[in-house]
Amino acid sequence: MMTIFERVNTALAAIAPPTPFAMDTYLGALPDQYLVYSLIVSGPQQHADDVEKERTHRIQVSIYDRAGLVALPDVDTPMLAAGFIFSSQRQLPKDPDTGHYGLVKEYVFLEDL
Amino acid sequence: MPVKGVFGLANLEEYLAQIEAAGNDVDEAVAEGLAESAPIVTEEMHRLLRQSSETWTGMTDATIFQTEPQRDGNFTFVEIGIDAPLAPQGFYKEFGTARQAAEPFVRPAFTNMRNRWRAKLREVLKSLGVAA
Repeated sequence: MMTIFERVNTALAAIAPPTPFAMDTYLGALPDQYLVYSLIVSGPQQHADDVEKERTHRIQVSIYDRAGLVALPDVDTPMLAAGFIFSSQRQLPKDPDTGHYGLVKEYVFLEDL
Repeated sequence: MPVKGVFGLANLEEYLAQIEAAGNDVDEAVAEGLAESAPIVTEEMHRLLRQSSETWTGMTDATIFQTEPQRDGNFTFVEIGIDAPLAPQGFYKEFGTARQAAEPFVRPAFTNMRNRWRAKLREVLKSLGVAA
């Protein structure tokens, strides 16, 4: 069975044009535009006969861009195609050290076990 | 830029009708239920923060807040969150920055504790005269 991390990794790798991405913190020199994803919370959604049947994963994808938030990579299309549901988004304060603007997008995946 | 959630009541109309039928004040019952159940979430926020990579100074922890029950018409609620204008590090920890990994402690607290706080809420409402 595909793990949630494999699922996100595969979806983000399908972004066109390709955009650098990493899990958790982007190491090394920061590109002008890149993505970071992380698992926010993962918990059981439904049980039957004392067995977990469904699990919900909430994923955060952060888009960082030094040029602002106008021309961002299309993260929604590959994530939705991978079975995620778009949940919410919020703007991050501009990072004074790196010069990146940020947008956090959240997606939910309901996994049948 | 406060980060917070709101605890309201949904799908509890039947309970509330029973409270009212039992002669109790619904608004007061709901407020009491929320006041007793909301700390389940804030305590989880404190716990998750303690588990994070935070170099503990207590400053971020001090930004976690929970209001007293409030009313807006028929809507009774408490607000729970982190007071980011007071100290933005909680916001950065929750969502991450260009150089800092997100270590969320607000959103998981709401998700992890949703069943427990609802159970507590029902327990309080039952104690106010609602049959199981």
